[in-house]
Amino acid sequence: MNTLNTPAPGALLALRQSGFWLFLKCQWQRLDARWFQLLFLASFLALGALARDFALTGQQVLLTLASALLTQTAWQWGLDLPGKKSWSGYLSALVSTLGISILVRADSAWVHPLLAGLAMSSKYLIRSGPAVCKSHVLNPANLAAFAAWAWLPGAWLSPGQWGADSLAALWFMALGGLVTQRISRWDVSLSFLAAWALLLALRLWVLDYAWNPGAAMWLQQIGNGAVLLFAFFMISDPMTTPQRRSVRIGYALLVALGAFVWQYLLFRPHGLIVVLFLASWTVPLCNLLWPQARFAWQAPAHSTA
Amino acid sequence: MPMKLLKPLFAALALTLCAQAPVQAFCGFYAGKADANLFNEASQVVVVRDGKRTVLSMLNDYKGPLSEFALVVPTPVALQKGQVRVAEKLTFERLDAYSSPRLAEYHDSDPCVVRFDWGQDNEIRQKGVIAMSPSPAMAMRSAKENARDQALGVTVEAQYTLEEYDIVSLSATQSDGLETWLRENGYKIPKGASAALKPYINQGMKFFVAKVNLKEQLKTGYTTLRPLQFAFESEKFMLPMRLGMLNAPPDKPQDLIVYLLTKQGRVESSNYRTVKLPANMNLPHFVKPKFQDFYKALFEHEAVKEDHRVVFTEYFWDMAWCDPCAANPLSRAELRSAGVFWGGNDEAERYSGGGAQPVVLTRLHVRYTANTFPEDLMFTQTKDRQNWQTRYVIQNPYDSSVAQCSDKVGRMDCEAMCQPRVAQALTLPRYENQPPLYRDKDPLALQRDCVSACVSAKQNGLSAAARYYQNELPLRISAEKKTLAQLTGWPLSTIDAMPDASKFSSLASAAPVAMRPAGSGTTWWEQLFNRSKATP
Repeated sequence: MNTLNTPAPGALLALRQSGFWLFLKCQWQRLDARWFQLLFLASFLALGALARDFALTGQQVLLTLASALLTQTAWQWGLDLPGKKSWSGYLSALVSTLGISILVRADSAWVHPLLAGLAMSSKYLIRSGPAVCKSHVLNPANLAAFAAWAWLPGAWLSPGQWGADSLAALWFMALGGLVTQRISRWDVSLSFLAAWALLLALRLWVLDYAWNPGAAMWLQQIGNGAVLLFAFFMISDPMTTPQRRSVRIGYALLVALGAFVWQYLLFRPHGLIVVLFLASWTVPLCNLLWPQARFAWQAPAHSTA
Repeated sequence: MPMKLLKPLFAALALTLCAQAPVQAFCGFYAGKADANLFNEASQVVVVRDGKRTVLSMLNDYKGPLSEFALVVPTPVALQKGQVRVAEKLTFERLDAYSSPRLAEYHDSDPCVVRFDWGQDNEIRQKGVIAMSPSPAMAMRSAKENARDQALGVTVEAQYTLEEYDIVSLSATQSDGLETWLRENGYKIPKGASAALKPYINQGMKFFVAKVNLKEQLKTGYTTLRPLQFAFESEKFMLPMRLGMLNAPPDKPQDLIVYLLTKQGRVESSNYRTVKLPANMNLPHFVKPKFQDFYKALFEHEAVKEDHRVVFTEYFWDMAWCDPCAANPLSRAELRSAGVFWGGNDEAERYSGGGAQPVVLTRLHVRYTANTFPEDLMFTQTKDRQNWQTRYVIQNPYDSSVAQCSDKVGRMDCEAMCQPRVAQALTLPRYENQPPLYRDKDPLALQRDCVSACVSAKQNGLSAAARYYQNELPLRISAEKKTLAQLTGWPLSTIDAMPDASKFSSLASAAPVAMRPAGSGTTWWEQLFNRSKATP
């Protein structure tokens, strides 16, 4: 428990010294990080739908939600899990609903719910790793986005949909989450972002771009909403990243490198989504080689590696 | 070193270089007057792509002296003679006409309809007519020259004359060397070209350089330059537009129209936001003669609103059909000349249901400045096959008035009209299923029924006309004017001042005609009845 040493005006001071303040702090720290995630993703979706004319219909979002919740219920009760009455799994269905709605575009109504069903089921069907940290392998939203691009007809990803401007508020929120430790794997987020930004800058430097337009190009490439979303809410999924901190930082760096090669050297589309999908399969092996107790959503993440 | 991996990179950037003459405003590929009808400085590019195969055509509507024209295009490989051809400008015109923003026109039917069916089984047909208003890229070198080329790090990979063009394919190792080579060979290149060329050289790209061969040009008989078309394979799906910005002031907007022909679905930008223009809205009828002005204003309004940072979609459609058609879909031969390589005779046969081709056309329109588009334009093909177009609708009011309707109705003599109908009704055989309307009635009663049906039909026709001219139409036009103002940013006062703008909108007497209190002069029904009585 950190102490607050800064002088504060009377009322605030009184509040801080009261037991109520302590209560609030404890509640905040015990709060599932996914609530923040939901708030953030909902803002993303709202921004996209209202100000960025996403080609997304309300019907698609509702069907995705229904499909995610139903699939989650079916698995929880079907497998007769000990925590089947807990709401925790539904929280993840909500997170996946928002993730899929934000990432995937389709010209029909069936693609989104199908992907939601697939993504939620993958949490129960594709599980691996040593006993101490056995978990699902793929991040549901990542799987959905990959499937939309690679397998499904009439579905696609729209990486340019954010534009590169006016995302300041979302960056601010993401960084706010980071500061208040509401981003569960901030170490992964930051390592990835740093590596990605560095690689892109390095490319521009090697190609010998002039300062203008080089600087603007770099900002355009890293300021993209898709990068922000990926860094804070996809690659940072505590369930599908290596459990030991040093290993997952290395993992984040390799994903950044792989995506860079895919996108900027091989000129293939959707580097972040594709490379994370491929890299996820190595996580159980990482956890086997460098074991660590599994992450749990309802306690604050205190990495000790 | 990542540079090695960058080898297969393609960039279809074109830079117009002015030889000898001082650098002028049009000196730059994307600064030509391409579509004379609509956008003064729009360059047009056709990209045909499937897998790695790409065919790219560029229309450079250069207007200066032909001796001063030159074009520099970075390419992934040194293009050999067989990979380049001179295309026809007609291809661009056909694609433009087929995909340009369109106005669909409908006509209201006459509201003054007297549905007087007594004694008849008439079908009343309403006509709806759809009308479209179309709107709107040497000799062998001596040993001495070769030595000089080597010193500059420039290699001439191929050199040939293709119809009116003298073409050189170059590879370079240093941008200063390339810039010097171009200058020494008679091209006056814009300031800053070296810095802009450098990244392309570092990516391992070659350069395609074309000049006009004046002798050959005379033989062709063409007065304008024809587009050049290249075929190559590359993973990279993009259009480098940065070099063309060299001459333009950093904030000066330029227009680029890209026609993309693909197999799977619509194409959008992967590094800029792709936005559909507001479309499928109803506009006031009087905007028809000003449709081009309207669209220019709408585009300008949207471009400014988005701060010149987005790519606009104007059209995407399966090229087998259109609705409404601003121009007929391209024929198989036209598609092949546009570069559609899979329209090959065998494959095309399979799809040939009335000239149908597995081709999706996406028309993108970018208004950019050097500051707002710092990166070359990159594309991604979606699997979206929902057709979409920038289509606007005008619904022409029926050109009449309540007075004319009243006149028309007034001239109908119910008594006289009823006589033959009654007579006919009386001759009908008394079948079981005969309408009860006529059954067992005497001629006088029938005449009375008929006249009363006629009068009420006249009344209904007149009130329908009154409702239409005094209420529905003014309200509709007022809403359409607001839409027009929102789309274009034109003030309502300007719109109101347009010819014909007040024709149907000033009649706004909100109260329906039947509700008007009697006593204020002659009411419509007094007129109606008096006249019908007065007419023999």
